[in-house]
Parts: sequence; structure tokens; C-alpha cells
Amino acid sequence: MMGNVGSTLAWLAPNAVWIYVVIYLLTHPHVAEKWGAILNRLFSKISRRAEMRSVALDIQGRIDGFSKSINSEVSGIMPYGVKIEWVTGELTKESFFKDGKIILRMNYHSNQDENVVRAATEYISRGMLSDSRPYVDERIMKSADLISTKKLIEKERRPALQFYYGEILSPARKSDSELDKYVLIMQQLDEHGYFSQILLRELQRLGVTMQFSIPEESVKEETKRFVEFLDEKINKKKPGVDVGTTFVGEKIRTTIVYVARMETVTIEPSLGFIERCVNKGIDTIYVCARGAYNISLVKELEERLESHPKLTRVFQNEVRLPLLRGRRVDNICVRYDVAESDAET
Amino acid sequence: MRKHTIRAVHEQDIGELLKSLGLSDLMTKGELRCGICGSTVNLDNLLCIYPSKDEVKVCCKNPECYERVLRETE
Repeated sequence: MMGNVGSTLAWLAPNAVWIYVVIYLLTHPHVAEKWGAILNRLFSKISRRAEMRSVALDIQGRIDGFSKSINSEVSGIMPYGVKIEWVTGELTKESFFKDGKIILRMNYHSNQDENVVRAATEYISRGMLSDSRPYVDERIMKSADLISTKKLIEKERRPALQFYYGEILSPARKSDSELDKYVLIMQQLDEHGYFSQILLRELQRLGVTMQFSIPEESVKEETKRFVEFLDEKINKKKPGVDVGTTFVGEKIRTTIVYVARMETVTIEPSLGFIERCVNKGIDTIYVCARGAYNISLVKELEERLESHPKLTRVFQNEVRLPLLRGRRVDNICVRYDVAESDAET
Repeated sequence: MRKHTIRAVHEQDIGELLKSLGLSDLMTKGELRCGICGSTVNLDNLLCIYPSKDEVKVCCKNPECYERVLRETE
């Protein structure tokens, strides 16, 4: 018995690294795809197939990596991975029409910046919030697509940003001043850390609520008002104003509670505000704070709300924001779903 | 995880594909037009090929044209 264990350990020890690598790649397929792209690139000069595999795997790895990270923030925003399917020169008209899909032109891997931007644009406009799209105002959706694609490129292929700005983002902003306004609002929301955590999450929820309903202009209009509300209450918020703020629409009913030293020295006002919201038919409550002290207050608040009969804590995200006014700041956002009750709305 | 498929043609196969779809001659004659903005499409500014009813259409690299193609082929 001891001999068996000993020989197993003797085998495992030198192979442990390899076993770890294999398990890691199996559980992180986007990393495997990126490595596959690098390996194929080595042979791309002598093999046509290796060149194509290198281009495809690199794109798949980057997009899948991004969708995994954004889904970990708010699950279900990008429910699909991506697969590049190559079409060769032998495609007939019949099979072209049968498939009914567009065929995107891809360059050699030496122009991968352009390839990634083109594929990301298509992926985001099809794969992100696919159930919600019919119910969201067109400009709001397009702005969300533009900012999400920018985030993808920023995270996964920074050198391609220049191409993205020059060829996609700037022309789109210049061509439509209202779109430009929403792009800037969403960019600012992202800098505050609330673009995906609050805006995309609420748009995703809208898709679930509305599923199979006929899209109505009033709902689209509501998405526009919601974005303007976030701009007013988050982007333009002055310190010391409001413990929390509420948006009550026909489909979106959300409260954002700020826990901040400027507004309160204890959590009692926040608790009182949350309690009033619970009784007003609000669907979701976001509790947000920035900086170590305020985050500790949120954690205290979380403890107090743990046993609340109508609140379910569904998500908590603690991130270090990129530079905000020249310094990095920790940020927390906790989301509570409110159980349906006899609301007084 | 389910996958969204992006169909793509590599630069090295584009000439053959245009031939198979009957677009090569039109391009040589300078008669191939963007299905959205109507500008002449050549190998420098061709971005994608898409089906529209019974026609094979092409789209130039203008981002607005591409966006409309994405919406029309949803």
C-alpha cells in the first residue's frame, strides 16, 4: 500500500507542473486559444492553415476572455463565446444563401489589430444583451455597443485602440451629436465603475422582463431616461447630496444608495432609505461606495441586511478603479433584488 | 458555452470567393457597389459580403455601412 502511494507520488512530483498546466488550460479555454494562436503563428509563413488558425484562435481567445470577465461582473450580459468559421473560395451561391450570414473579410495576422476590431464589433452587436436589444432605444444600444467594444479592445488588445478610435468610434461620434452625448455619458459611468454593474445589468434585466413582448416606444424611451438619470445622479453627483436616488419607470425600478462619509457618519440613514424603497415596489437596489472607510460602512450595512426578509444579495463587486482624478480608488457595488410584495406604488 | 459564429474569409481566399460568387468581373470593371452607400468597392475597401433577398451584396469599410449591414442581417 505504502509502496503504491510512494510510486504514485514519485510519478506525480515531476509531472505536477504539466498536470497543472493541462487542468488550467482545460478550465480556461480562452487562454488555450491564445497560446494556440501563438504556436500557429510560428508556422504561418509556411502553412496556410496555420496562418488562418493563428488569426482565428487569437480573436476567439481575446473575445472569449473578455466575455468571461464581463460575465463575472454581471452574469448573462454576453452569453455566447465566439467561433470564427472560415469560408474558402469554393463556396457556392446556394450555400451562401442557405447560411444567410455575412462573410467578414479578415487580413493576415500581421494586421490583427484590424481583424480584432472588426470581429469585436460584430460580436458585441450580436452577442451582447441579445434578448434586450429590441426593447432598448437605438442610440442607447449603439452607445453601449461602442463603449463595450472599446472596453474589450482596451482589455484584450490595447494597440488596436488607435485603429478603433480612428476607424469606428470617432466617425460614429462625429456623425451623430446625440449619439456622441450618450457615448460620453457611458464613458463617464464606466470611469465610475457603474457602466456594466448598473447600466448593462438593468438593460439585461429589461430583456428578461420583456421577453417575447412586442417592443414598445415607451419602453425604449424609458431606457433613454434611465441613462440620463444615471448621468444626473452619478456622473454629475456633488458630494454631500442625497443618501440615495431612485428611478421609477414602467419597467425599470431601481435605487442607488451611496454610502459616503460626506453624506453620513453612520449607516442608519442608508438603512432607513433602503427600507422605504423596499416598500415602494423597487426591483433592484444598488449599494455603492468608494474608498476604504466607506467600503467598511457598506460591509456593516451588508451584515445588517443579511436577514432582511425581502432582500436577496445577488452580487457584490469590489474593484480598483482606473485613475480617477489622478489616483486609484477602491470601489464597491452590492446589488440586492427585492422580493415582490404588496407595493404602494 | 454556446458560440456565436462569425463567418470570415481570409485575405488569401478573397479573390477565389469573389469569383465563386460571380463578383470578380464586376469588381474588375469597377461596377461593384456598396449595397448601402453605393460607393465603388474594390479590394482596398471591401469589408464584407452579405445576402440581401436573392442578391449577393458587398459592403465597403465605412463603419456606418457595416453597422447597417449588421442590423439588416440580424
